[in-house]
Amino acid sequence: MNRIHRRAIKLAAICGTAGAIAIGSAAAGTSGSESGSTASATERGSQFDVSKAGNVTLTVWWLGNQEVPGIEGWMKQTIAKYHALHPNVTVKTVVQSTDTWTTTQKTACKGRTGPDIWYNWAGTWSLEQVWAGCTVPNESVLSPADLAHVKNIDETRWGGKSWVYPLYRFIYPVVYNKSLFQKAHLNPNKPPANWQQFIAACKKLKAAGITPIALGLKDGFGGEILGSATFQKQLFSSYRNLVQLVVNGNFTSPLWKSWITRAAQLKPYVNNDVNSIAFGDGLSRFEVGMAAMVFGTPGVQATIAQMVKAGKKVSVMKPPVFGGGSYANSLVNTGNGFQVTSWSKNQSTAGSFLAYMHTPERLTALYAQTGNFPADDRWNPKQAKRPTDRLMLGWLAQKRVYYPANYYPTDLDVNGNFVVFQGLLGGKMTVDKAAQTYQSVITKWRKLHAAELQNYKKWAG
Amino acid sequence: MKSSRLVPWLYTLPLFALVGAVFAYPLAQLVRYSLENVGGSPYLPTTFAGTSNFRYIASDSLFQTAIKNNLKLFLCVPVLVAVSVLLAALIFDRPRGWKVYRTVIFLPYVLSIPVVGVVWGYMFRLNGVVNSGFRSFGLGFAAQDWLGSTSWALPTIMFVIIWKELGFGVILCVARLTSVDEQLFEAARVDGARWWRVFRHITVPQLAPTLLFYAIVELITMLSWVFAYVYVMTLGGPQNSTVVTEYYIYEAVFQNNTIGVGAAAGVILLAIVSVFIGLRFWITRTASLAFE
Repeated sequence: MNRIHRRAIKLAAICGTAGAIAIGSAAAGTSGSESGSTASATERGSQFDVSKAGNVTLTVWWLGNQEVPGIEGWMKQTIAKYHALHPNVTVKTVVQSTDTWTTTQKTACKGRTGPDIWYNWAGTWSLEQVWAGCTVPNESVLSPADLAHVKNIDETRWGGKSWVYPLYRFIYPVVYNKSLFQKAHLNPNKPPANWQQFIAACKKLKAAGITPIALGLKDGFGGEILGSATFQKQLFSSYRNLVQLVVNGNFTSPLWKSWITRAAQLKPYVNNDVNSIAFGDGLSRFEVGMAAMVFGTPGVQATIAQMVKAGKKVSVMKPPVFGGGSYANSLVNTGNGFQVTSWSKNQSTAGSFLAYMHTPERLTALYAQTGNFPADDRWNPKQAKRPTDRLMLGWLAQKRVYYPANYYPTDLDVNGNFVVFQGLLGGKMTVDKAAQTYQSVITKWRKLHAAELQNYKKWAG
Repeated sequence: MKSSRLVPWLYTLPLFALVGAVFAYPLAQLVRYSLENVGGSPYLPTTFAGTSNFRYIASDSLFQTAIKNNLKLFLCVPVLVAVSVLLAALIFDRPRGWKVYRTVIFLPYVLSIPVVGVVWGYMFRLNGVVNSGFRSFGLGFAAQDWLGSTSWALPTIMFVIIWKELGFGVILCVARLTSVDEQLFEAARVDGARWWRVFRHITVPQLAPTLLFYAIVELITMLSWVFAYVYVMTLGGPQNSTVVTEYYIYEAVFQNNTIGVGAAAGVILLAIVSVFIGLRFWITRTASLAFE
């Protein structure tokens, strides 16, 4: 945490010009908002006097239940309560499709028209919109007090500012079926902790006629989630090094290959049709007991809850450790939430609404209605009673490790992770070829994105 | 006198403006983007790129794969033409239930591509209906990972495209055959020609302009109307083995944020399609002159 804060301070110093631009644009955005007055730092977010704004309609574009089952009901309730507090503000939500989400955002941004607030994932996903000039920093619409409680804002810190206001956290454990572990004579209460133990457990499960891991790679996301949250994070002790790798590193280095070698070892232990089913299909197979383990995904808590309700015995483990980085033995989390758009005429009110979503009562309701962990320390984790939730919250409290795929370009994800995992686990791709694939993608990317590369350099510090 | 000559142009001005707004402006923008590194913010400024986007795609192995895949899709066209003419000839003979056959063959054409893609996508899974069928008939050796292997994914998409597009060709051919003078067929039969001979010497020649038209339309389809199949069935995978030019453009613009590269690929695609469109107009014109 401190490291990230220090980095942010250093970045702010280095990126004076960029910071000035950001502040300038933020100020411009705020001054053109509701009342025409510039909100001071103490008048933003929860501190903003919404009654000054006049009659305002806020439009929110988001992904609703597609991202977090049950959250649409929570949002409806939140809007109603906010409207009761501030009758001059009406909030309208539009659920967009996940598949076309970035496309929709880019189209809206290009036309400088669209919502006041939109949902976004952390890291690169948000920053690509920032660099395209689509959104304003949190600091221009939220008060320092609003930001202090949300540690995950560090995940999307660039140019001395934070750029997405996370509402909840996605976490990425390995979920396992205790009954199937028992059937394979594995101790269900002592899951594998390191890579050797994990592979040994897979062998035993397979020998017992059980598919060790259910996985779908057709839509590519499985490659991203598995590669990022289980393997790549283990190489690092700071993601500044990962960003530096993007800037001028070598993806065919022994270090990068070390995780690919492990990933390739999974091939005999995943279902044989990984490339013809989607990630969600793999999850469904695990849910009905067709496999012993699944690599966790957003919404994993809801999956566990459903399985427990259906009488299945499931638990969670941290991804098995093999790496030497200090992030190796950790549970990855990423905070996803909202950004205020740069063209919104209601930025201060938008900030107020974002802050309202983070009131303790709303955070408690969020966990109760969705099972997802709120990304705000005003939420009391004691609310979590399920043993798996308590386990995961304990791991999250030990070390705050974010999602590596949020620190490199989308191109490296789509043409790197997606392609490599399809090749390694569903095809005949070698480790060397996989490493070359990453290198080839990043070489092309560097060639094409000179301006973006500069932004990454600033990010790396 | 001079002003009266201008009047017709004045009347047509709104139409020119409309056409300009609808077609010319987007085309001009496309060309402009293809010559730029498109950014549009202080953090990502737009700069003039010259021909570098074109040079980049010329050397990009993914774009080459995309073009090759489009060319492979061209193989669907002779199959479509051959099967269409054959089925049309059979239906034109009006066997019992021919109206039902005609409807059944045409039905896939009116279904939306996402629906078709999703349904076939499920059927072609490694453990899907198609392979289960093979296995239950003792033909397990024929079961393949149709959409999950790099060698089978594109041929499988081609099969689905043929299945869907066939109806259009059959209906075109049947429609044309109904306008052919029945006496031609009668005379041939009276002279003792059997089905195959009638088909070869009367049906096919009479259908020639229609088949040419159909072939050109389908070639254009294989170049610039296959995105939905790829998007729904494989998302360009596995391992980018089914990426086509349209998908490449989509990925460049919306996933990788390289609008200039996508636009350059778009310009090239447009140029190729324009040749085929020109060819189509030429064929239509030649055919109509021949009929006159």
